Amino acid sequence: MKFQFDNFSHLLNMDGHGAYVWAAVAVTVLLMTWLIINPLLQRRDVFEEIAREVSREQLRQDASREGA
Amino acid sequence: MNWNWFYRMGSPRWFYETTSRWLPWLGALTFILLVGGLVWGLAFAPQDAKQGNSFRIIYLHVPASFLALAGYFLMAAAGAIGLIWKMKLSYMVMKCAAPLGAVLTFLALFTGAVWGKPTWGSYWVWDARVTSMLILLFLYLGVLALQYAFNSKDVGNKASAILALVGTVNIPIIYKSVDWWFTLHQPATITFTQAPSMHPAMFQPLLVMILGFYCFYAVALILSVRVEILARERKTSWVRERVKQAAQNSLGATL
Amino acid sequence: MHPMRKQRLQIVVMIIAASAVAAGLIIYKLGQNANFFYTPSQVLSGEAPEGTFIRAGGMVVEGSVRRDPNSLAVDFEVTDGSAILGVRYTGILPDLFAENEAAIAAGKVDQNRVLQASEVLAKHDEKYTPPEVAESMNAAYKAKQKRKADKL
Repeated sequence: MKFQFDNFSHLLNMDGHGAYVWAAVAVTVLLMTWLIINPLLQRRDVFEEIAREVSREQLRQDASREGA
Repeated sequence: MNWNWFYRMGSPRWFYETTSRWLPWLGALTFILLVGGLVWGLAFAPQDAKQGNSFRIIYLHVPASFLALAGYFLMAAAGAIGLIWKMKLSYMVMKCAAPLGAVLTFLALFTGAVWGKPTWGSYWVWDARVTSMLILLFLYLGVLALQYAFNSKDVGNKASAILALVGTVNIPIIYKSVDWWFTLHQPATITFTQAPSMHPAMFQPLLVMILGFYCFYAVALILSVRVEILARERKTSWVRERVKQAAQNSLGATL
Repeated sequence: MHPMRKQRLQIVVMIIAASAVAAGLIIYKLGQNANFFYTPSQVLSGEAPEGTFIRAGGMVVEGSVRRDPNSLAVDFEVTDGSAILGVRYTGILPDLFAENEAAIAAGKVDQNRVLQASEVLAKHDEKYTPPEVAESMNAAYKAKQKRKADKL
């Protein structure tokens, strides 16, 4: 196994095909990262929502106990 | 026949807790395969005698296309299980597989376009392969849209599942299109019956990338199914227990 | 299996079967109309529509490519093994365009049975080989051809 390019700029340029190859890489990496990040962010939101619901119910319960 | 294992697998709680244990390992494996395979393919695999370096797009194009097709089968199978057994979890899998498949199909088309320009001389052609692949993208989007087209979640699920099942016929058409018709797209390099028509030094990184994409698909699907489970089971005590734990341990919220 | 589930399974199987039949009919009716290009034989035998925009594809005949030294005009021939079609094109050819490689030309066939192309696409095969391997394969092939010629 051998590194196929002379230097970093040769790797970027890829003998004129660099723009095509790296565009494919960039869009793929971007979208695949989004596919992982998005559910993680959604999960955080759902957790926070549920936590708020729980504390709201807790408050309501406490209030009704005090009222009784 | 004992169906207990099947019903246990259909339990959202069982799914959530099992995947909690597996996800870190699967995630690490996916990352290693994808980064390793990509660096290998982009910088260390030899270039193609005719196409030069533009051929390196194959390391994204072929795995994305594979998963776009395989993911459709998975989505349709989940829809069928949902229709027959009325299993909540399988509808969740179907719902989450639709946007995931749509993105992978888009990637297959996009990487194909930027590969087509330097080799064929055109970003886009309306040959049977490219066109049937575009139909696949519309099928994924249709399944996704039907989820939200009805007021009743149950009706939406059923409609999505039926469309997913009807669209299954497109998969063998995509696969065989290059053999049935004259297309600009070349026939398959990797087939079930023959050795790949590719030099081993180029094929090995491709195999790593295909494995990596399969693992990635599993991770991405599991992550979004878990969110779906949390949202739908929010009233249950086990979900509340999880939320309480996460609030106490801030690290838990990220995992 | 529960009778209700069995019934629903039958419905699912029927959905798949019905859409498979429908797709089969469409593909059968579509037939060769879904082809991206015609072969030179189809064009010259009149099977391809005449006087309209068509695509024709085949192997570029060895030694047939003649470039105009003063412009971007180029003449070449494509073949499917049995017929040869002449093509005239003005413009930049794709990098992969070469003799003994497949190409697809799009345009109208004129009275002289020459395709006046407005676009030329290169078609490549499904084989991928590193340059050194391709070179040694070519050398081996040439040596074999030479041995054959010597024997004759």
